[in-house]
Amino acid sequence: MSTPRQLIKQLQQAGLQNRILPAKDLTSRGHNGSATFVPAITKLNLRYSHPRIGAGGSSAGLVQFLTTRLPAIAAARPYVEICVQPRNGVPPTLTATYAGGKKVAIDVGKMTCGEVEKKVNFLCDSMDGEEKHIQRGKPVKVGGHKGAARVLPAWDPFTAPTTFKP
Amino acid sequence: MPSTATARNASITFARLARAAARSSCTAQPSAVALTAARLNPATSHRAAHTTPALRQAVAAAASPLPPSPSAAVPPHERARLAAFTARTGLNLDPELLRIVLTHRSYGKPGAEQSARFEFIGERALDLYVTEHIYLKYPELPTGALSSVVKAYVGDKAVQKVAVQFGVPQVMRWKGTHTPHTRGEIAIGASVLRSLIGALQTSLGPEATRAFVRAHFLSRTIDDLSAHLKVSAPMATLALLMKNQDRIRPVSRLLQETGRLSHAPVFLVGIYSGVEKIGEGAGSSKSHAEHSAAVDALCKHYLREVKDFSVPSEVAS
Repeated sequence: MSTPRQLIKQLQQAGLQNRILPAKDLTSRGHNGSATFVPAITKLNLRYSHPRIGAGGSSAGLVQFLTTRLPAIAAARPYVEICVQPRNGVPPTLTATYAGGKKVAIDVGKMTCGEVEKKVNFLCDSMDGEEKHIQRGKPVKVGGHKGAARVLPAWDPFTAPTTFKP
Repeated sequence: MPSTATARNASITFARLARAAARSSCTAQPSAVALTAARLNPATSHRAAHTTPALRQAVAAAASPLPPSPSAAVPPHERARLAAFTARTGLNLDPELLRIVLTHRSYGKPGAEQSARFEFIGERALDLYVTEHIYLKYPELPTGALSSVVKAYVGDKAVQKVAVQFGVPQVMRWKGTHTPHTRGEIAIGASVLRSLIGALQTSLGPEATRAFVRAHFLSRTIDDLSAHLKVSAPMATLALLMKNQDRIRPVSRLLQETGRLSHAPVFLVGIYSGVEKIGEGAGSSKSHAEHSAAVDALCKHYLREVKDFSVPSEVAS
């Protein structure tokens, strides 16, 4: 290897490749869902406050969900480890653990059964338990959007009809 | 003591409820519901008596005559975790075998070394299925690039990424299970994934393993395949290649240019074997563009892809 190549390789290995040739990417990239889909959620903890006489009122919706809707949802989602635990004296929560180790906790106090089911389905379907605000249905604008393709392409020397000759 | 008896009964009935839920589901997979009665200490166990009618009914309905079998190696709460892991990954192994395979040798208990043998087989099986696929997909690829491409699919980085995607570090048993803040979780996760592939190969056979490898490893893509091809003297290599193929000696021609006397010239050069253009390249000088065109011609030759083929292990079975 010539001296310039050696120096470039040393700089690349040291991580200082921003100003020079970047190190070539010799890795492969995964596409979840292309051949088969692996859900991101691994575990779901449902912590309810036990409905004692005159107490546990904030988890009434969650308890109703546990008794009516949970078995069907667990059967429909066999890839989630569902863990139901009583926790008295604290508000009821749903805690989802995802494949990378991330934990997301949602307070479900004073929610109805339907609302709890919505949250459970959202946690099980999402990749990391966060809402993704994707803009859809944008209107057609006269000037076009910032990232939209133009009718006339950007100038490039290979397809330009005229070239600059000083 | 009645309070502890109530607590024990509550935990047993919760386990029975889980088994009833598993039996009632249509799938053959065991249910992933683990109803664990945590923190039922004697002080609060009397609260278990004040359950709502619906909860009491559900518990009563789940009463079954089957006692927990003493030979079951996997406790109920781990069964749920393993069932969920099986459904997520498609690795249809028995829970007992799965528990053994998911125990890394760094766990320390006696019998934790069994997964190392599965890892030995799994590493080589994975290498085999990917290598035969790449070998037939790129028939002209030289061996240096072949090993580099296979390493991109089955090397440490790829296996680590797939292991993290499966959630293997959360299911496996390793030295970090009883020692917090331990490093090496992802590397050991990759090791455990190789053990899983080895267990799949030995228990379910090559067809299932090949399908698994195709789904999770061969579905990965390489963005720039030409990065794996190392060519030192492209012009000379190309001339030799044409000679070996009994084709006309390559000649480079300037196709387009712009800004020759400016600070940013662009030259487009094509390399021709007779009248057939075999490569095209652009550069800021004519020799740079010629070099780029020769590299392009070599890439077109060595990186030629075959779409339909059958691998030897598939044909042999």
